[in-house]
Amino acid sequence: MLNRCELLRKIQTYDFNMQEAALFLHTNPCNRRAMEYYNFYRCLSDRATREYERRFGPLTNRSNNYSCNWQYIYEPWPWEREE
Amino acid sequence: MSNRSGCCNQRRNSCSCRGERIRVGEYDNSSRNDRRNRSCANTVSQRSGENRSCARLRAEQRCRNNFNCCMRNARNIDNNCGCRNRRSFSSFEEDFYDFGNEGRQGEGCRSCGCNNYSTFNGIDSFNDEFEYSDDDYDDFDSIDQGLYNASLGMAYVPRQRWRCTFRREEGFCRGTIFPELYKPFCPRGGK
Repeated sequence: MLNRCELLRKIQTYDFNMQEAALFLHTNPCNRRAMEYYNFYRCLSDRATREYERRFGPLTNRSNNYSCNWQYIYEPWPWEREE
Repeated sequence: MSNRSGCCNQRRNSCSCRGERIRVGEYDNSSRNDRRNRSCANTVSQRSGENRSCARLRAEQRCRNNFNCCMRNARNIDNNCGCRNRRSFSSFEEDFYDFGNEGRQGEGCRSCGCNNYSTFNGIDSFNDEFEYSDDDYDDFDSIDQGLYNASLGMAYVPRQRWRCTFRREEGFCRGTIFPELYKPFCPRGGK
């Protein structure tokens, strides 16, 4: 099983690939291969994000699932990552 | 430009240059020093401290000439992109067009999409009416000298095609998943 850092890195790369495909689709909205590429990495990103948040806590403030506790603030900031 | 307002002529004599005016069309054919020398007569009043009202008058005169010239040229113009198509005009442009007298409409420059405003497309004739002052030449550095006639803010970018992509991790490290967009900054011309 991946540790926290490895999983986070994976999510970052998934999101990056997704974002690159999204930028391409802005100017080529009918490109089928780009759309497949985007959907593929979106699926992976969603899955990895769910796993990360289940195991380590919210990644973004939108995914703070604790009704009475702002857990997001206790997560490490980007400059506090252990690499 | 100084003598157009008519109130700074006495100062022009204090300049020791030949006193010829320079036109934009001559710009490419002479060295920078030569240009400065020849345009000196037009700007000496400014350099030697003309008063503020005189400067304002000159600016107003220049603005009026600019506008009149634009209105004259608005009916017979070429596109700055070089396609020489006639343009169609939006309602705003028609209003402007009608200001002089008859409002003629042309076909659009559809092939290049430049949609240039008619006023500044008549740039060849436009240049005949004006001389650049010494200060104007300071705006052109050595890189821009061949581009002084080009439209501002126009760029052309070829449409990207979906080809191969970097692997996931590699693209993340390089900052793009597209090999054709991977342009690392390398000093010395990429050597």
